[in-house]
Amino acid sequence: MRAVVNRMKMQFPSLSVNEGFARGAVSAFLLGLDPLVNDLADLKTAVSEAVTNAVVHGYRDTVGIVYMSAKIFSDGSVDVKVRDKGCGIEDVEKAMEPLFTTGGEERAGLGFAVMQTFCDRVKVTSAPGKGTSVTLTKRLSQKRDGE
Amino acid sequence: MKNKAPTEIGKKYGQAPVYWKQMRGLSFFAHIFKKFGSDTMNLRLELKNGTMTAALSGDIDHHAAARVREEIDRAAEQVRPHTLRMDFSSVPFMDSSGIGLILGRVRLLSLWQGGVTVSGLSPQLRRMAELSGVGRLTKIEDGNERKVEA
Repeated sequence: MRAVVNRMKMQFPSLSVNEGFARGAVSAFLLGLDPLVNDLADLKTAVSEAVTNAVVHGYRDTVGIVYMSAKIFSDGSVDVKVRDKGCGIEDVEKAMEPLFTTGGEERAGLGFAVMQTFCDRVKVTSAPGKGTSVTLTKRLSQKRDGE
Repeated sequence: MKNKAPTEIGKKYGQAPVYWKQMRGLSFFAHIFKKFGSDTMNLRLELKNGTMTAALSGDIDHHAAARVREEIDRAAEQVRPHTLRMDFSSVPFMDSSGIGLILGRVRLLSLWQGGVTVSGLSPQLRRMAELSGVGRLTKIEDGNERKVEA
């Protein structure tokens, strides 16, 4: 049974300075779980990618609100959802291909590939003109088993 | 890290004057910015025998990479070093923006047949580098002591 044991919600404007704030907030929210350093770093990286996508792509020529929520489940897994009401993605499958980018030369086109590598599951739903929602799921192994 | 007056940070985030005004005087928020934000991102450039070393420190995300890129490019275009050594030993966190930063510099240096060397990667950063295949375009140095815990 995957019951929610804790949850949080936050929202912030899509300013690039908030990328660091967002991953820091997720990290702080999960610290009570006493996660492994590597697991936490993986999730922080994935959150950073998702929020950067909202800042760079979702709200391409504008500043909008990024909605982020996180849930901790009884089995030790975590969901982090990053949602924007920006331009949306025409072709989600194509956007998720490694090296595909619409962000110009300085973007590596690796955002979704990194999320998929560093998380157990990545769910993307998007509607052009309405926005994009990315849900990252990761199981965090605890340092002390059985406590 | 020297304690900066809050107004200095306000100037840095000139693109967000409205939000800054709301937070002015709340040193607690300034503290969070320093701890989690990319405000701590720093760059030290050194030139020696045609090799330019860019020692990066702090988190490298899209926000920080944009500023670092400008500074490196401005210097590199002037001196045209044959090698750009990017030292990540004081970088605790990096996302794919860091890969974009490296690849962009590879492209720039190739304009005058220069090359890029990457050093001081933490295990986390190394995973990111392997995932991106950036090692095929740069030389990744081993054995460099990490200066910060990842």
